[in-house]
Amino acid sequence: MTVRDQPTQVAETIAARMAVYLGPHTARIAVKTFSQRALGRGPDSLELPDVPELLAALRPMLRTLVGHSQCEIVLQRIERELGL
Amino acid sequence: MNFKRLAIMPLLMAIVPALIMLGIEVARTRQIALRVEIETVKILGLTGSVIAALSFDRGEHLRRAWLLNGSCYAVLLLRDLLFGVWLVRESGEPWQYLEAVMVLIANAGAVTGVWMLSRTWQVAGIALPWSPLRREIVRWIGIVVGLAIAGPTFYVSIDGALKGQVRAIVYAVSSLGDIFSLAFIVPVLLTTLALRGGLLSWPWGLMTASQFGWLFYDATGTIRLFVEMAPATATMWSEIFRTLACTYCLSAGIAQRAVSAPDASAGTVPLPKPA
Repeated sequence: MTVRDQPTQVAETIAARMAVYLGPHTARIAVKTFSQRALGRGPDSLELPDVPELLAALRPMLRTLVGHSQCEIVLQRIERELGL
Repeated sequence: MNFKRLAIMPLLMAIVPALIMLGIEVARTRQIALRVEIETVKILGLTGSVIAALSFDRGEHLRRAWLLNGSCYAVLLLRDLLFGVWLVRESGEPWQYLEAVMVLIANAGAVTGVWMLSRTWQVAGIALPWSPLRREIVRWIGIVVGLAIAGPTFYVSIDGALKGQVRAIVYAVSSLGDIFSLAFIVPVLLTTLALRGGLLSWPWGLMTASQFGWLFYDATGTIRLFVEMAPATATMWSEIFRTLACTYCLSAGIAQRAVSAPDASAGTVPLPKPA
């Protein structure tokens, strides 16, 4: 992995919060997969303005696994941690 | 929530059928005690399924999966109530076939529920571990193991079932359901592996343990077809595995509820420390 491929701090923060539920490996893969799907870019270029769109893409996945209420709490927590 | 206790509790519960079989000498008392134990663990399995289902909103994938899983316990409990209190098995009356119909409905619910659990990773869009080839190989191993364990019972009972014998129909339907259910264990196991290190690995791991409980329960019945075994010993082992299957389902439901509880503190779980 080159330095350029390293996930940004924003991507790391989102993955770390989701890792509490999904485990570290799946959380990292989920951020990568859904950022490519929603933004057309990998986690190496993820910045704060991209977060709302990424969280919207992650919502159905989290909702399926933890349910609506907990999903919203997790997403709000991520937004708070990123200062949004 | 102490998830380790949820993993240990079924192991302690599994001692109960062994104590009943080994500790009670009077046959009638032992039979009653065992029947009470069987119905109790089915109620626990149903309770676990409902608790898990209530963690999700109406229409959500896992709510339907858990409710279908629970419908199996509910229909079997109703069957036990009907044929334990009011109806007589193999009475020659038309309603004797009601048992076969109920077992069919129960198995359809269980198979559909496990099938839905097994494809949750696809619905959610998460990746399973291992390469597609390795996953496919393991999936086929699961299907072959399911066939090897539940297939013989199906083979033995299908002849009688086609002749309209009620007990044979019940066994054939039940073993066919088991073949499908056991085939779905591998995707559920792989989902657990994908979630390892996260809180969700607990409900998924405990549900996988429940499915393995049913696998060994069925295996006990199949082994009886080929190996000389005292009926009391076979009953003891099958009831130990039934207890494990049902109580791990309860544990899985409680764990899912704990992970999904709309409790603000759950969102403030400390982040894992960097490795």
